[in-house]
Amino acid sequence: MTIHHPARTLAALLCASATLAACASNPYVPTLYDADAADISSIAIADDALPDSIGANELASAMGTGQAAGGLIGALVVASMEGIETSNRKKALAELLEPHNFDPEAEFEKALATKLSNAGYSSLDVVEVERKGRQPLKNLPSTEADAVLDIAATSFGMQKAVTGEEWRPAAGMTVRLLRSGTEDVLMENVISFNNGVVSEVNREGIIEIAPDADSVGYLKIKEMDAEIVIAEMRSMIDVLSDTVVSLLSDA
Amino acid sequence: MRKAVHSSIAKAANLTVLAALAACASTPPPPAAVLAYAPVDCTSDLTLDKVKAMETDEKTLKRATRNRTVELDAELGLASDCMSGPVGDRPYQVFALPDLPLEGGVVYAGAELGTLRTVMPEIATLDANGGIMRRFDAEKFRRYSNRFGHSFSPRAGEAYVVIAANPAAVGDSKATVETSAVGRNVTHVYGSTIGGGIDTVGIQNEFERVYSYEGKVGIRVVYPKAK
Repeated sequence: MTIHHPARTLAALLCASATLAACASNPYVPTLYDADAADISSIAIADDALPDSIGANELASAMGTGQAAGGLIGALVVASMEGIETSNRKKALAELLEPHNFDPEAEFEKALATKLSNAGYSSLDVVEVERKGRQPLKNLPSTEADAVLDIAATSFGMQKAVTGEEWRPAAGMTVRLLRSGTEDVLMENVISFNNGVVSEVNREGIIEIAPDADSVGYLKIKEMDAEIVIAEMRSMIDVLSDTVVSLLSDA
Repeated sequence: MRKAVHSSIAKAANLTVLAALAACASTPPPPAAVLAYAPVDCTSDLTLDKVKAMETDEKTLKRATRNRTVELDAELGLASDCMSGPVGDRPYQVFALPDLPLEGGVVYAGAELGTLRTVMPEIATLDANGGIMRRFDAEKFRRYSNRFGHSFSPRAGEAYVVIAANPAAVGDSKATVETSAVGRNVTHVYGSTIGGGIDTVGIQNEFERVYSYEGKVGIRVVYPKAK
C-alpha cells in the first residue's frame, strides 16, 4: 500500500485547510440505511475487500519540500524516495508476519458473515468480483441474495504518524450495500480506523475510530512481536466488522 | 531583485514568528470536565424557549444552500435549559432542523470531542410542539470527525433535535491514541525564484476525555448534490 500519489496527496492536503471554499461546498454525504424501506433479508459479501498485502504507511511526507526545491520533478523525486522507504517497511512487516499465516481478508469476511447472521441476515456467501484498484465495484456480481455488501479498503495494515511515533493498525474503507439487480445504493459510509487513508478527500463526516490508549504500539518494525501485532490487527478487524454491521441496523 | 526577494521573505518570516508567538501567549488552556452541576429552575419537561436555529438572512441562506451544509452549536452549562430526570438533572439544548430548499439531508448530532473533556450526549428528535419522536441508542453512537453522536435522516414531522448531557456518564472517561496529518506550507528560495509546497506533518497524541456536564454540542446537516 502506498499513499504517495502526488495529485491525491496534494488534493487531500488542500482539503485539510478549512479555508478552501471548494472543499466546504462539497461535503461528504453518506447514504444511511433504512432497513424497513430496503426490505433486505439476504446479503452476499463481495470478495477482495482488503488490499492484497498488509501496508506499512507513514503519514508524514516531505513532498512539499521536494516541490518547493524542485517543482514537480522535486516532488516526484521525494515521492519516489518515500515510496522506496514504504516498500522496504512493507517487506520487513511481511517477513515478520509470514510464518504466522495471518489472512486478514479471510478473517474479515468470516467476522462479517458471523455478525450479519447474528443480526438476522441470511445467504452471506462470499462472491468473487473483479475490482479495479481499491475502488468500489462498478458492476455487481451475479447472486441470488437480495443485496451485495461491497467493501473497498483503500488502506489496511500498520501505520505511524511520523518517525519517532508508534506503529499501530490502521485501515480506511468505503462500505456500500447495493440491491441486486437494480444496483441501487442502499447504504454508503466511509470508515477510518486510526486515521487510515480513505478515498474520500473531504474527511469531515466519515466514521473515525481511534485505538484505545491501552493498545500496543511499536516504535520500529524490527521491535515488533508478530503475535501481538496480529492480535492488534484482529482487534481492528473486530471493531470494523462490528461497525459495518451496525450500519445495517441504524434507525 | 534578489535583495528585494530576500527582504520580502525575511519580513514575512518575522511577521509569521510574531503572529505565532502572539497566538501562543493568548491561547487559553483547554477547559476541564465539569463534574458538578447545580442548576436552578430545572423542569421535568422540555421547553422550546432557547431553541438555536440558523440565521435566515439572505446571505446565510445562500451560503448554506451553496455549501449544502448547516452547522449549529452551543455550550452546555449552567446557562442552558435544564431538565430533571430519574438519573439526575441535565443541561440540554434544542436545535431547529434547517428549512432549506434541499433534499436528502443527513444530520450529525452530538458532542464535540475536546482535549480534556466531552459530553456523553443523549439525543432525540422532537416534533413542532416539542414532543419526542425518536430517541437514539447511545450504544450506536459513533465518532464522526470531531463529533461523537449519531447520524440520521430526518423524518416527516421532525422539527428539532435535542442534545442533553447524560448525567450517568459524568466522571467516566475514554482514553485513546490518535494520529492526524496536517499540511504545512514550505518555501524554498533559489536564485530569484521562490518555490512552494505543502509537507504532511504526522502527529500522534494521547487523549483522556472525561465526560462532563459542560461542553460543546451541536448538529451538522449536509445535503447531497441535486440529481
